[in-house]
Amino acid sequence: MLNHHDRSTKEIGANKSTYERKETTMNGQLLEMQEQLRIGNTKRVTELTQALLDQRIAPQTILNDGLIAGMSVVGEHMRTGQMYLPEVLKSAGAMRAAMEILKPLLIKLAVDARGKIVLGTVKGDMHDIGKNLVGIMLQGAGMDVIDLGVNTPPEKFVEAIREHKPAIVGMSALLTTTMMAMKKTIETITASGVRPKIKIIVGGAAVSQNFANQIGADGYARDAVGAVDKVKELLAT
Amino acid sequence: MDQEKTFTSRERILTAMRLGMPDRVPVIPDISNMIPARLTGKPFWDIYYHEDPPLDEAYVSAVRHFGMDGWYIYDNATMVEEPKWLTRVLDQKEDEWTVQRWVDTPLGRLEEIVCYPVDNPPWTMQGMIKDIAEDFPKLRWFIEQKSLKNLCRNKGKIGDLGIYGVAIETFMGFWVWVRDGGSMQAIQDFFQQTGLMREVHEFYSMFVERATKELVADRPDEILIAGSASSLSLSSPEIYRQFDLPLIKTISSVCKDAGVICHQHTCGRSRMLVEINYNETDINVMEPLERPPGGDVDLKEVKAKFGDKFCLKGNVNTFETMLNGSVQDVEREAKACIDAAAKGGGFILSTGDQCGRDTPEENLFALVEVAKTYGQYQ
Repeated sequence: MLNHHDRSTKEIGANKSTYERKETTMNGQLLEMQEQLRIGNTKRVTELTQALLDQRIAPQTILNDGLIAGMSVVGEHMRTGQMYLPEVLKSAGAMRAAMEILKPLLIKLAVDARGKIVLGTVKGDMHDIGKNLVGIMLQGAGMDVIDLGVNTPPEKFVEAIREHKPAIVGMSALLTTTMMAMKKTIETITASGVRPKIKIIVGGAAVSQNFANQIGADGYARDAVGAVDKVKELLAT
Repeated sequence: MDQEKTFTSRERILTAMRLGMPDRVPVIPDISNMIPARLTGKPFWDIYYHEDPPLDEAYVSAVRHFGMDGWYIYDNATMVEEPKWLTRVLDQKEDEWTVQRWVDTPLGRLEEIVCYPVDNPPWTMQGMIKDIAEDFPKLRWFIEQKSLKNLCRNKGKIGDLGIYGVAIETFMGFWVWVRDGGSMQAIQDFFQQTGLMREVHEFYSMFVERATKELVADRPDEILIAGSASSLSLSSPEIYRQFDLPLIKTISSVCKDAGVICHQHTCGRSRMLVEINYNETDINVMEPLERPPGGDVDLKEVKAKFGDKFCLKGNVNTFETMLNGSVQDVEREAKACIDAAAKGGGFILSTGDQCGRDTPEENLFALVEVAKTYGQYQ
């Protein structure tokens, strides 16, 4: 008995140690993934994604604790001015490559995105840097983003809402002249009957919280990181 | 100090740009685009497509209208179209026209699609470089056809109402201008197609050096390095150092040797670039030195650290103050700018990048008035 007990204890100890080693390896790899994502190393991020899957780590864990956590660091560094747009684009490219591996598995496991958002620059406006950056940061936060591009007529927003059933619609305008197209787009969405099903956020250099209130938007954000916070807040209500 | 003499606008600006103290602080709100077009009262495609009147003439009228000091920057060595591009209106709606523009080269057609809105400046819907390997040789052929003689073709149009500058794009500015997919695609090219980008950069660098040498021989008042796209709101220090700084060093050095003022425009986040340029280039003027939220410059701080070398031009906020603020807000911020940066000379009162179309006229008049009544260098 004693021998058996000893053996069992040893075995349990060995299993525990293997489990701990595995967890340590996994945590180390997830941490490395966050760092490689921050520096935009697509090759290494995809290698780590595959390596973690090979160790039977759940795709949700890789998504949440590796990719989303990594992009959250990117967002924070952008907010504090430590990262620049080209570097953020590189990080986003690395995340996209990893998501190509993970997405079929997540679909199989019926793991939903954290929210679905339709984005577009309004009619008459071709500026897309801010809107694209918001899209990148929302995807980085695990959300499904449908990007309608620039110069988007109000009717196209309505069609997209009907087709994709998003929780949130985001509109961007840089020009003072095209800011009013946001108002028209909200009016068209309201007239179409789909307004109660969605929340609307607006942004752009000339847009303010006051303007957002005036045109009946549900939220306003000053920058891309703020937009992610606002979307999370609206999704929680 | 020459504050007893009455200066023309041109003399006033040039004196300030050479770190001197003219009769008062010059005032040059950035209204180079939308406001002159609005003042014509015409659909914007009349100005931008039919050139009736051309934008530069609309600008000179606006300078007279506001009584400001003028800054003529409508000749652009990078963008000069020679041979002339052909155009065809593809679609004509009430609020916008869609226009195809093209030039046939021995290597095939180079073309872009441009949207001309009724009440906004045109924008490119489809850029000329869709595939770098295929389209860049066509653009290279086109650029090689430019004679580079007589680039100062409109010298004299502004007269004593202001200074005459010729623009040259930074590499980033050039690439964003020609690349289909806009700035996001242009940025991604730097890390997705590095080899091709080095080739494009090498070619453009040689063009810039040649163009600058030709230009300074024609004696413009200044050469403007058009670096909006080099802003750290869009670019990064790494890209700036690798692709823009070598060109800026070349342009500013050629200007220095020729005694021509070299002026860099970079809006948005630019504080770090001001410091890099201070330490590593022969630039004379930096603008528009935007403050938060769009930029990151503290005018007082850059005056203290870099004012011994740079004439500073800025930085009343375009959105918060010029567009959405009251006359009192404009007066307050304009005086604060003068207080922060005028002392000792080398300061031009201006706005951030490009005043919006709907900037109230009274705000522009107020800015000009502050310079005239409060703009002393003491």
